[in-house]
Amino acid sequence: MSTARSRTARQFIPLPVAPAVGARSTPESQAVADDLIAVHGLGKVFSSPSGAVEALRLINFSIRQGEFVSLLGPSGCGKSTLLMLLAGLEQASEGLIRIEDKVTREPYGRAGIVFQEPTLMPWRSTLDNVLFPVVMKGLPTSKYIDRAKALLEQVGLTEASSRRPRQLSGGMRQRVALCRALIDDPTILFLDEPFSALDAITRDEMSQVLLDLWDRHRRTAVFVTHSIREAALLSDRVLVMSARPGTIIADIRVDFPRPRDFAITSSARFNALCDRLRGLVMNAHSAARQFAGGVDG
Amino acid sequence: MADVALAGETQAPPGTAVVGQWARSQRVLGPIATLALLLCAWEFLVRIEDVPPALLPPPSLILFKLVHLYPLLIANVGQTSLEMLVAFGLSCVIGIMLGMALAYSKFLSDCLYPNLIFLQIVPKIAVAPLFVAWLGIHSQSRIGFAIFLSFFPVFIATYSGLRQVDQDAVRLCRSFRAPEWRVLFRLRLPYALPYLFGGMKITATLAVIGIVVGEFIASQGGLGYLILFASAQQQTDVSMAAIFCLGVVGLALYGAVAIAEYLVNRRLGFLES
Repeated sequence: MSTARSRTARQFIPLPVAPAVGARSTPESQAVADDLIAVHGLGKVFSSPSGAVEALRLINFSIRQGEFVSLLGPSGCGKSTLLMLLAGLEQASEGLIRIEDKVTREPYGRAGIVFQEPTLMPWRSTLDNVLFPVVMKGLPTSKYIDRAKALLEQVGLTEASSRRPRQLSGGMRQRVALCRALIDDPTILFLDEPFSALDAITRDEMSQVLLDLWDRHRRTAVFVTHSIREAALLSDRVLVMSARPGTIIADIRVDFPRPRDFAITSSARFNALCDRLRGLVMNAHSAARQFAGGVDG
Repeated sequence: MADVALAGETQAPPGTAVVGQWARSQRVLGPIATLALLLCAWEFLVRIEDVPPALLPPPSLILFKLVHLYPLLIANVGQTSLEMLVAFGLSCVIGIMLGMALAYSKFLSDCLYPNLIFLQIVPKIAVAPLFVAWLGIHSQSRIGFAIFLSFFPVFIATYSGLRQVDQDAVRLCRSFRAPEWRVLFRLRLPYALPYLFGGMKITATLAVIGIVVGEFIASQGGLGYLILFASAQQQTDVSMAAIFCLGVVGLALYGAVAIAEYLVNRRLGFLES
């Protein structure tokens, strides 16, 4: 029941509990072998009627298997663009992305995505929405139903499994989207500001839901956010980005023990980390303002 | 509350169930009562003013003709509705195919879209006689013209409906590396359905017009032919009976589409069920 990670014999119930993330103490020597995602000299230029806009410049970083990495930055810094590049949904202008040591130019089939909006199909029930990726990949739905139900139970949506999206609250919809991203046992999770359309109370609730899900299904995750608290609470590493053109200005390790609880947000260490991140983001922001002559994305 | 709302938007304040019931029965009984009143006034005025029936027959006479000429009317209703159904069906098929083709091919949409709009702007009735020259005086000519007149709303609804799909949903499907045909059937078409039904309702009304105009121009049967023939013989009552039948036929087609729309929307969860 435990070694459900191999690609050939994936087990669906009970949900596989991933092994704990490898020891952090052995550093760079191991990093190369463990890197699941490696980004080299990535750049993205959009052409617009008023001329070319450089969204990203010379991005370099790597993400290890099992790491939860946040991309934190002011709005308009290109962090969502970077995520779309990683997900293979847009093409880079420069540089390359390796996933599992293969250069990717198209969507990596084993990733789950959650967008800012839940993006549920209004004609599908909660359960059928969770099963949507299975249907779209042409896999047999019957094999995944139990897993879908188990996922819904973990986020507290068992009661809602036959309801339509319009009968759910915003937070419930986003929880359905999280389950949908996890249904086909993805290797990587891409989360594009998944909670930013929710109200403050629901956001905190969702952070806890994500923390709990994370402890059960430890995957590699890339989480885009402009919330310093969310980044600090959820991540193993925070990559701070500057704006226009977006580039990575800091790579901060977050070593609160897992499983984590929302309670750490009131600790002094947590707040010190938030202050540090805030300082970095503010600097990036004001630099960008000066650079862009006060035009703020 | 009522003074800021448009007609039809007024909502009964809570706790006034009687008012709510009134509003509901007003929606059903209102049009029927108005129609009855108009018919009574018509009957009354025609009789006291002694208007000749060839000019304006009273409703009672039209009703009499409807009952009396029942077999003749039914035969003509049959021909018209059959042609109308065929024209409507083919219009939908052509409109949907064309809409899909243009939504999927940038080349086709660049080449065809402006021309289709131009074609739509030309008064299509003016082209009707040409269909007789091209397709003869039988069904195919009338059906051809009705399709020509009525395919556009379904086409434009399909075309824009398929393009209105939530871009994140499309990205989601791309991230699954789903084949495009599956994206079409599982995502784009369900999203486009509400648009499609809007287009189909307009197409239904245009298909009726197309067939009747076709029958005006060249036909030996059908309600359009009957209307024209009876008018030429000053049998205005027969004409009006045929017009009444035409109204019923058109309403039936429109109603069928509207009911299908309601059922599909409820099934797909676009409506509260």
